[in-house]
Amino acid sequence: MKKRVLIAAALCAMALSLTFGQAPKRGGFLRMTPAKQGVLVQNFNPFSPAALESTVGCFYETLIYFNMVDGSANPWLAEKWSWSKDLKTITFTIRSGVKYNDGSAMTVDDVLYSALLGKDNKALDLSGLWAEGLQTVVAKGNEVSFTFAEVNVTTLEKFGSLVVVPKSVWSKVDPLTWTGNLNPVSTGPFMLEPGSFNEQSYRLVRNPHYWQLGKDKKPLPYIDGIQYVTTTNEQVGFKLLAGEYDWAGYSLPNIDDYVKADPEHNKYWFPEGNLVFLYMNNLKAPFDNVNVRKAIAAAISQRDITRKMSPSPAPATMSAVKSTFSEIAKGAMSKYDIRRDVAKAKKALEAEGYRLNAKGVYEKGGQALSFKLYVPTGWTDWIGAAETVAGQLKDIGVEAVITQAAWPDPYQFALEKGDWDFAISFISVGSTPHTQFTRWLHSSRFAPIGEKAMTFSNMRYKNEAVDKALDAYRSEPSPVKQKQYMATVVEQFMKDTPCVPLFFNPTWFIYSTRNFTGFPSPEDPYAWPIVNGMQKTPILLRLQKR
Amino acid sequence: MKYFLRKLGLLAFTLFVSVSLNFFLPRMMPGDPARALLDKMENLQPEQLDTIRAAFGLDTDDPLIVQYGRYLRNTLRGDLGTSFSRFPTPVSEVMRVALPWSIGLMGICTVISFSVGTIVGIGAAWRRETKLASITVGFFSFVRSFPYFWLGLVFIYFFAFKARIFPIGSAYDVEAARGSASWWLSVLRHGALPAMTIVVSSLGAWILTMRNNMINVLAEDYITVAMAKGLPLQRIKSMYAAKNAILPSVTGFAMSLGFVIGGGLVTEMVFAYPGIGYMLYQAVNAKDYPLMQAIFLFIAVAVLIANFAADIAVMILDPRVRDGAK
Repeated sequence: MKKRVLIAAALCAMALSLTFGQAPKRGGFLRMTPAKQGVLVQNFNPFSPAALESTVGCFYETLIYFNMVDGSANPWLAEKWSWSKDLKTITFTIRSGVKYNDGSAMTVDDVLYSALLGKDNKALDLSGLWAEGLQTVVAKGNEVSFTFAEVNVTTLEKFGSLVVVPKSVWSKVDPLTWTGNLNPVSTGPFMLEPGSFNEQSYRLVRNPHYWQLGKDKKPLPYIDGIQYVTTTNEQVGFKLLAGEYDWAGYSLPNIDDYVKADPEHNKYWFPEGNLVFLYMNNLKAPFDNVNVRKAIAAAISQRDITRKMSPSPAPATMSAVKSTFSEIAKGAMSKYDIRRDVAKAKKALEAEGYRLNAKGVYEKGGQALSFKLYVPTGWTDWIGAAETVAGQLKDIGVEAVITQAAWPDPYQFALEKGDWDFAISFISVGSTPHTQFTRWLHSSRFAPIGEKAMTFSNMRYKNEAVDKALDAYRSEPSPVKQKQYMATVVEQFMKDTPCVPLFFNPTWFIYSTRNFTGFPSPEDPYAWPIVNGMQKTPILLRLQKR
Repeated sequence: MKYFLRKLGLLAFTLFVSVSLNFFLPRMMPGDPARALLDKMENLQPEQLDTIRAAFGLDTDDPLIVQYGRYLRNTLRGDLGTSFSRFPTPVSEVMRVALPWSIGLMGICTVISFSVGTIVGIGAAWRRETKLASITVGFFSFVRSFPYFWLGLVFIYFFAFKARIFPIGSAYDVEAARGSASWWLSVLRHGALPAMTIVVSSLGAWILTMRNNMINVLAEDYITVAMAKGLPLQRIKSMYAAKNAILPSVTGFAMSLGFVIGGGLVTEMVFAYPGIGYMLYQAVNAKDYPLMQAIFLFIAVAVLIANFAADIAVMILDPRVRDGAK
């Protein structure tokens, strides 16, 4: 009888703990190796282009957190915001009760100071707000208003890079060249453990004054801190297999061995990063012919390309948008998608008047479809992909001669000036498809052959309908209508096929759940696991000791 | 004395030439350092590029020769500038961190390797008919032919990863308090495997050089005369044969001491060991002119001074050099 009561009590306790959730488990030092290699220099200056990965996100925080996975803006140091009626002014309400790690309060004045830093010195305009046409910044009560010259609601994203620093510290120094920021006064969840900084490692501990509370109503983070360690490509595999890291921002060719060593805990997630594509110069024959471009697209099987790469990145679709945004491409995909179809590709080329020559390459008027396919020297994963592309093109009677050239010089410059016709290139996708397609296609960034186009806008392609939709998006605060505009852009893009999207460069995220739980994963992609900037912060705040 | 002065003059001249080359060579590399740094960042703005370039001091319109003069003046003053890739940290600060590790590991290993190799080489030549001598020479010549990179990985796999005798990499235990006894112990433990790899792979060269020189010297008439006169064998071995046979090795040793600073690239990569070699590699990739210049300067100075020291050592060891230079 007594035993039964005990069992019942135990069951009740179990049920209780299940329904109400267990109190979060605190403690533990996360062992992390970001991709920075070699000797560490104690640089936590957020205005330095060479600052350590932890600088923004562990020490310093931004006005809002812009989630790169779903493109959503989230309150952070600003509680909320609203656009004025004319959509030229955005007003942020600054969160009260935020403290620096020395216990002093973050003030509206600090926000104002931080925002104004970039006004006179472009190098301090990390958020790019001033370059975007910011005119004035005004503080009133607990609100800070930013007024722009033109309407552009997408500037909201840039506030996700507006780092807030204490005026009392930074107004006494030249922010760009200050090397004395050894122990930052900052609002973020972590601070440096004194004396822990060495040439190969340093240790962060929790900031006891941090403003965010956990489920247990005590300040976050749950973990005690982070042990940062540098390593090298040659070492990281051994150390991961030996269980020396909880989080590694590294690429690992034999990733399957890592998982096999402890399938329950050893995991990885390589979410889609920058888009790699088959570049065609749209102003040069024969790539100025949309049917030729589409025939080339019909030679390509993205899946076959990525399957041969190790580790495999995520293949792209012809819509060029990341899978998290695939909704905007649905309509266009059903109308204009191109899959590998050798017979169809050949037929399309023949319809354009091309005939197979003795070498098995299509030819018209003595001009064979034979091109140099440029790929950056030493980028082995891309070179492998280029070889697969060349093989697939051969099947439809197009010859691609792989030619290596150094990146960024002459690679970037040749593409920007339009010197090359055929290459493997990439576009930094930013946080939303709007950013991606603006950088890629907007005619304001276009340049004729021989003149320098803006970075990433080098395909020599422009389309009025694309411009119109991209511009309309900028003055449209409603996400629903924004999506419609983007659907138009994707549709135009697919209709004209100015290039062939191949795959997304992976974001390297290898982790172990042996000591900590709460990592993002393909099943729960709540944040983008990149070691730089604010994207990692929500992860560091969610991790709990196992 | 004249010999010494001539060598000193040559040292000064070669130093000047290498310092000058150091300025011009990196600037002949294609590419823009500001761009190399900013390419890593997301929100690239042309205006930012210009301000970064200004902060680097690259926006100057001064002719190259004026920049060169400024560079010479700063170098003489000991001002090595600000690193680009680790901006805004000064180059001297960046190098100060890495230099002790490079010199510590590579320097000690080079000395060990040279001393042990030379002694073993002498022994192997003196008793060249024994089985032990041929096995030792054969073994180390065999090991020497392995690529160092591969040997390092194999050592890590067996001694650190499988057997767990040594740590897998890094230079020290990150958990130990800096400067404490346990930290120093961890430095030794972490340094042991890379040191072993360096010594094992470089020993063969010293053994072979010394052995071959020694065998040549042993065939000389004056050795036969010394033997015939009945001098003690130990005296013949060390004072007559080895002293003369070591001359070419001393020059080689000086050269390799000079390369201690930058020569650890592969070790530093394989063992994730902090040092100047990997730093130089990164500096070249990032077009970090000031850091590159400073490292090359150190290497050049080290090689030249080591050579100078070798010349002096040879002068002391070899009376022919001294007397011939009268």
